[in-house]
Amino acid sequence: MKQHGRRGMILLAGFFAAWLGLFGKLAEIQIVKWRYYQNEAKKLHFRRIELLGERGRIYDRKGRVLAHNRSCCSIQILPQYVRDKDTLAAILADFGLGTVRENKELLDRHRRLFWFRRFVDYDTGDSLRRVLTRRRFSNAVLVQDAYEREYPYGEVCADVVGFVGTERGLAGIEWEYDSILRGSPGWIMLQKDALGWSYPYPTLPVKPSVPGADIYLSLDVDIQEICYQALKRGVEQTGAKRGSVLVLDVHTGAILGAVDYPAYAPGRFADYPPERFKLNAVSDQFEPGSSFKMVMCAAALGDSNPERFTSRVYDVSSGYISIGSKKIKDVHPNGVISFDSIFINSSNVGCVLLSFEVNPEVYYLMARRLGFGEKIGIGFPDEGAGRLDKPDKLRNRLRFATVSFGQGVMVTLLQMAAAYLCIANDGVYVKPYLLESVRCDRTVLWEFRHKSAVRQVLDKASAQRLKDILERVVLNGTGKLAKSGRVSVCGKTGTAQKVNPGGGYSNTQSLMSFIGFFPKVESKYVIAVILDEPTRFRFAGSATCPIFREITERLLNLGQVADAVKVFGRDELAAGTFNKSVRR
Amino acid sequence: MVLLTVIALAYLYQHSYSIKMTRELMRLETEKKLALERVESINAQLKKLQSFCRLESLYLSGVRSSIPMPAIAGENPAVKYPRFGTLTLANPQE
Repeated sequence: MKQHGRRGMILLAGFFAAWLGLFGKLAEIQIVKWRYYQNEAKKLHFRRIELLGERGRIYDRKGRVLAHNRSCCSIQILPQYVRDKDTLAAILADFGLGTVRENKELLDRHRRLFWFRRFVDYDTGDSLRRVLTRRRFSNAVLVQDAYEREYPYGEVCADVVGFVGTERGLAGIEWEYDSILRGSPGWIMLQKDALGWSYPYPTLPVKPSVPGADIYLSLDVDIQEICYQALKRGVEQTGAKRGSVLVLDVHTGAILGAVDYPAYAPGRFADYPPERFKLNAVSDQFEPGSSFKMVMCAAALGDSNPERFTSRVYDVSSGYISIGSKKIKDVHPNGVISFDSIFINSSNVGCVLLSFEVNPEVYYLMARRLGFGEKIGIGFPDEGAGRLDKPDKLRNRLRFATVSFGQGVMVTLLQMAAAYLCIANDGVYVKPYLLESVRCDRTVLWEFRHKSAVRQVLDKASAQRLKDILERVVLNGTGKLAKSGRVSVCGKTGTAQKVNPGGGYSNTQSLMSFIGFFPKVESKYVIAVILDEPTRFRFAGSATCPIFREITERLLNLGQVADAVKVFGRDELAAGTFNKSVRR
Repeated sequence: MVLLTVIALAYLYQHSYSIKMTRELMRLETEKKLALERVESINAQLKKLQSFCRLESLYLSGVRSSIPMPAIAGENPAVKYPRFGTLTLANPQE
């Protein structure tokens, strides 16, 4: 009897212990690990799909799209989960994605997740997704929605616009403003049944994706196209390694055109060397040569007593000048010349003579006020700052002498164009800009505040005198080939010897530039052209001026059409009735 | 019992109908997006071709443009046009 009582007690204790354990486990599930089990249940019943945020578009100043998106699909395969490789290879081949043999080889070769195809047409990808789900391959093949970036103007705008990699911008505006352009992703919940099929349902939560903001640039695609064609012809005809062109609006400082040649196709960027992915006109720093002489001219004219430079003559008849052991030569002997002729005939010796008299501090200040020696800050990747020696270093006679004719100083083409813009704008420095506005749908999120002036660098009379000199450079001096029969052109050539890797300057390799503006009165455009190592010409006048002239002529045609539209109206022009009004 | 069965069946029907409609809506939205993308792409191509044609015709015609253009402000307004001879076009409406 006693034994029965003890057994009963043991059974009862066991029974209570079992129930206690069960309640303990229940408490653990319900109280401690409830979140984990809730997530597991959600995974069983629901499926979350990521929604891609569409990337913002890039437009030119007239609203023409430079970069937009196309929906497509990207296919990834997990080969370890493929149960029948032959069937999958055949299905993929049926959709025009390779041959059965190629696909089979790919599936055999890879052991982990790999990209099978990227940027497949959306309709093809979507149909493939359905077939794969029906044939039970959806766990091994992931067909994801994606966006492919399209660039309608291709290499014409490639250097400015840049390109996008897998998700992020990798060059140009796409890189610089990636955070603005990139949209934020969303998600959508789908119901899942016992067989693993997913269904959408209206009451399930959705977080819509937010598209990125659109960017409007100051570029004009027409001008960009003109520059690209002219530069391409120029580079091919001169045998140069490469070249760049910049076009600036004189009044606003807007960068209307910025091209490099050779460029690259942004859709196939992997086929090109990475050094092509920068905009040389903004990032490359070079010794400008004679086109920098206008800084010396501006410094002399900006002096408190400019007459002491302008009212005398300079004897450069020897054709050279010695400073210590160094000899600085002119290309052509010039005789005894006036202040203006130093720049018109591009006399290095004349500039050196001026450098002996101009105060280095005045010169340095003028160069800094013209924008040299620091980044302009247009908001573009890899913008060069250039290099300008401080006045204490310029006190060295030889150093100041070489800087006076544009050697021993580093600039970017953009800085040069901005300095000439200052002269064209009657001595008022206007900061160039590229980004015009950031918009989301129709709302303007940010807009460039047009400043009429940043600073007055030169007084109007000095700027006018500089303009006269630069006009005579084109009429009688080294820039004759830039002359247009329809408009007065002002500008300056520059042929700068390149530095040898072993030291000293090369006699065969040079950078040739021409920077100018037109018309002389109420100037409209500044154009800067540079060619790297042209082999068929010795001087910038023959190599770069024809490119400048072609761009000038074509801009005039373009501007005249725009002006005619303003005067006559587009409909009247199209109908040809404008002739009557002229005859009247 | 019959009533409960009818309610259950009605609920199931409504559920499946909702799924069908949501699917249809998603399909239409995708189609709309694709169509808009195509329109955008075609528009971009059209604008590109328009400006290309305009630039080419201007390039080919060069200075021999038959449109009497107003001269740029501040410039010598005497511009030669083959159809009108030499015109002084400071203000073309004069």
